[in-house]
Amino acid sequence: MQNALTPTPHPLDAVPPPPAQPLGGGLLDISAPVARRRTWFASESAKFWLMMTPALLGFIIFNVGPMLTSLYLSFTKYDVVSAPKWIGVNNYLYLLRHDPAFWPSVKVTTIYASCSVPLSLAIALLIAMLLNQRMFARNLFRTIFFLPALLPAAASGVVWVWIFDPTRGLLNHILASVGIAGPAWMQSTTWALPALIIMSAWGFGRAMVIFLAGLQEVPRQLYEAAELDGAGAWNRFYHVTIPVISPVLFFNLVIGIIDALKAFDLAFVTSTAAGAGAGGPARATLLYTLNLYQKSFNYFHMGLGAAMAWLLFLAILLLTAINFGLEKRWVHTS
Amino acid sequence: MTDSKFANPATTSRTSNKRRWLIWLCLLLGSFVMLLPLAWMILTSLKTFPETLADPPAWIPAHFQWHNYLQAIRGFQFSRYFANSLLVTIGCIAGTLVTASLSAYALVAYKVRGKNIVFGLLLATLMLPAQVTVIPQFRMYVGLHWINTFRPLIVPSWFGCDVFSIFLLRQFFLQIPRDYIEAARIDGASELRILTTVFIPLAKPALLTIAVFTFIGTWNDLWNPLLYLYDEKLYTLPLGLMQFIGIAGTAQGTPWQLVMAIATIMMIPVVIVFFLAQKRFIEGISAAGIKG
Amino acid sequence: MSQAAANTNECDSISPRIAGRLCGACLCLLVLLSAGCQRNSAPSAPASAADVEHQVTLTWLLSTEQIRPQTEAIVADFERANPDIHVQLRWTPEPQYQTKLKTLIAAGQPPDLFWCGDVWIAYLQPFMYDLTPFIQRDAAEYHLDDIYPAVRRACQWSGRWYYLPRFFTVSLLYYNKGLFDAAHESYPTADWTWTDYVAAGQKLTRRDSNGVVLTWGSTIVTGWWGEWYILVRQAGGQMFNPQLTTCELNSPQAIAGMTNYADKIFRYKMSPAPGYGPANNFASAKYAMEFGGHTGNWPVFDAIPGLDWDIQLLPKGPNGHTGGEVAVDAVGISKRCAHPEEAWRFLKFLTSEPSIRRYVGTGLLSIRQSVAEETFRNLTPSYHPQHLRTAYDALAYAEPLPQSRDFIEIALQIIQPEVDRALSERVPVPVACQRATEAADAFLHTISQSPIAANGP
Repeated sequence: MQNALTPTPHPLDAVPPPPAQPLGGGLLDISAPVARRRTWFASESAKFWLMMTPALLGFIIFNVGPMLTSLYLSFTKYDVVSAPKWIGVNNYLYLLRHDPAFWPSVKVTTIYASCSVPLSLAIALLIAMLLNQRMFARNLFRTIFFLPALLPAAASGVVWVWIFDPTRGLLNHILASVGIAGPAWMQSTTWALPALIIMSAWGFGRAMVIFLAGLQEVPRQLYEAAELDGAGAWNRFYHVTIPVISPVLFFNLVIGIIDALKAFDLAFVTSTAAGAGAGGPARATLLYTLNLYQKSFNYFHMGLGAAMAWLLFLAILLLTAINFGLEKRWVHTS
Repeated sequence: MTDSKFANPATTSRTSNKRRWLIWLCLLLGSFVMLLPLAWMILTSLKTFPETLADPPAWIPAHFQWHNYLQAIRGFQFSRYFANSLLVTIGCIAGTLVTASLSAYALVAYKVRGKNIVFGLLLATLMLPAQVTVIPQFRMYVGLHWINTFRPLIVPSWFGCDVFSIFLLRQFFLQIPRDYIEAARIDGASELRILTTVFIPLAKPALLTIAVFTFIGTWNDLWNPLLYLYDEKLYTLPLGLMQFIGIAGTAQGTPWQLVMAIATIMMIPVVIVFFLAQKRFIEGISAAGIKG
Repeated sequence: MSQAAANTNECDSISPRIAGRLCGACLCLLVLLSAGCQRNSAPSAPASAADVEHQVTLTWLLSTEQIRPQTEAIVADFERANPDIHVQLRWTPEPQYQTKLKTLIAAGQPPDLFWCGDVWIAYLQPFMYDLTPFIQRDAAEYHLDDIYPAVRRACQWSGRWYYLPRFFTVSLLYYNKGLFDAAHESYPTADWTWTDYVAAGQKLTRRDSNGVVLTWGSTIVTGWWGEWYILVRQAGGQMFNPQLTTCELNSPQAIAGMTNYADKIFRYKMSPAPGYGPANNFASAKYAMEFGGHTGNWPVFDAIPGLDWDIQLLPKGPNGHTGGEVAVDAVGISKRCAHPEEAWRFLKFLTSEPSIRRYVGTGLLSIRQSVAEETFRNLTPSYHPQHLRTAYDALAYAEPLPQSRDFIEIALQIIQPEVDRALSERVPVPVACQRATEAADAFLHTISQSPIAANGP
């Protein structure tokens, strides 16, 4: 069984391990087509493609087809009730030059992703490390910390709006009891986004569980050796833990960034329920996907929405490619 | 899950008990912080309407209004939304399990040129934001007259649209030695039989993980029902909750105590499912999630 | 290998079960899909077998509202009186209503009846049935003259009728009698001006010894155009030019109106900055007045014990304008409706005297003068508001919103953020108005969806 110390195979490189010992005394070779029937239908290829049919059909019908159609629509003016009208690159020009919401939403999403991802990962790693030892009620703790990730945004969103309510909410109540006048949170143009980031960090459970799995693989001997060399807790963390769990860290980082860029539910629910209108006051929490949803489904600028979607996709591709490129630099394999 | 190694840089076998207790207390404190919003939610669900508007806010209601839950269920058509959510969720779980099994097996059991390309393409769709495909998908469903039915919610999962599950299961299947396949083939077993009798039983933790993940994702999904369901009779729970908030149109008139009651009830199935599947579920993630 | 073997031993007996479960799941799915089919089929038949062949079914798409029981009661009454028609109600959350409606239209399955109003008519008109011939034919039987002239005007677009009104909302000045009494201030009168309003607001803003505000002079409505648009109009400004081709929010009058709006917070200090006041506005009983408001909130105010409130005409603006916004809540018929005659019968019933009486019973305003007069006669001393007649007087001064397809998008998505920043970050009002105007003009010249059409008469 592989663990974090062996090289993490890139998904594209993975091949099944060779058979330990061919049964039948080597007379049968698994890579040759089954000898009995000679039709193509009996070959490995046929079986493979047959079994992959649902996934491939889904890929084409639900992904590739719509992607290409969406690319076409991004060059049209389309409001669902009438036929699409070709307008060339005007949608892209409007977005990049004239739309008062586009660049703010890019800024909001960038800030959101670059703050919420490190915050969640740091908390997840910290808690995972604290949890990674025998203790009383460990399973209970594990459940409690994972629990928020299970809640639907529709439910947790309204609870958070309640908590962040400037006058009746729990948070300002607590702050007031220590003498701090809390800001207007979801209704303030400066504090709405930090509030959203805090809300999203609450769902760190998934990353925590994956870190827990990764931490299992750090051998005790390394820590003991480091301690013998006189390394303190922080040094042990930095020089032993981080390198060993770097593949897991990488995974969480990539997934975390992608999810943050695609985030929609929480921002939608909280800004609708907070009464400031979807997107927050002065677009303070107007995430990119929220802007896209409003333009496409509230106001029916479908062509514009398609253009926005493609720009987002390209951004995600670029960021992920960068991440994978940097992987060789800082992810340790031994 | 084994943890005979103390993989914690802060503690080694020589760390004092005092330090361990300190860590335990920190965790306890952290738990309180994590549970605070939930506690607030449950307590608010037991208040009266004027109490929810009270300023400064009261933590604990004067009298616990348990009837809020009855009122919420009756006024909210809870049983209908619950049934709808259950229907859609079970449909999606079944679809995901079937297609993920088939696809993961295909990706593992055969040596075919282009297999890795297929896998890579499928993985690439993980990066695709839903918004890129949603408008043309919407148009397609309009053309098929599938709007206002459950079909747009369930059918995609029967066509391998949950690539994360395929990925997870593939990693799990990779750990099963090839001898098993060979032996079964020599015995004359059909591919389907190999899949169901050899691989699926061995991959139970992963399958359970997939089922739980799909359950959570579908139960909590707001985006898809929001787009495709128009008839109130078909609403799922998250959508019904949003509608309930919108009843008065303004934040002023929303009966928050009922909203919180519904949110609490909505949370219970997910918590139960997770709690029951917890141990196997975490094993499933850790054993196959990233390292394979 | 050993672990795998161990697993095999343990799991061998389970595999048929798993296969069985898979089959069961497939069966379940088949059942589900067929259930999905049934939901999509024709609506449920009525209990009475005799009427089955003749019964016409009309679908009505509504947004969830507080008057749902009244609406359902009206529908029940109608079906009793007209057994050959069944009206099927389809409810949808209010924020998603327009999305759902337009999507259904696009899908070729529009509901027979849907909600409309003077703002939405601009883009819904191509899909609506022209009711003018019906109106002309049935005017006498329908007591068309009983409907207030201002409401009748708001129901027409380029001289044609496309919907019938259920009730209307109008902007008013709300005041908390208890707070006025405590401060020994006289109540607002019908000829108040903006200056009177501000003076009273400042006197009624009470602070404690630490400077913390106990009660505010007035609310300030943020997040949508409800209040600032009235102030802009009262100062003589407009959002669009008459042809609806350019935005005119940077005119001196509009800037003056917007400045009044921001001044309530910063200069007169009689309203809290967004988020810093009691959350439920006037209903918290900590505000002495509300400018504009929404008649839909009346039931909420009534639910607060001890809130003694009343209404008055809006104070006159610098130009002498008293006008706020009037909006009509109305229902129209789809152009593709297969049974327009039956749908028309339902609309008439929906807006006839008995139905209007039901709506008025919940605190809504009557579109019919006869019913309004009845409510004036039946006013009890404990009824809120005591000056009910003022709401109808306000009709004479109120103006509908510009009938542009882009109005809502421009007001909410382009102008509102600039207004938010003026209030939260103290961006100077002329700068905010200028930015808003430029962005709105860019919008109108590029992705606007209106074929510009003439306003109603």
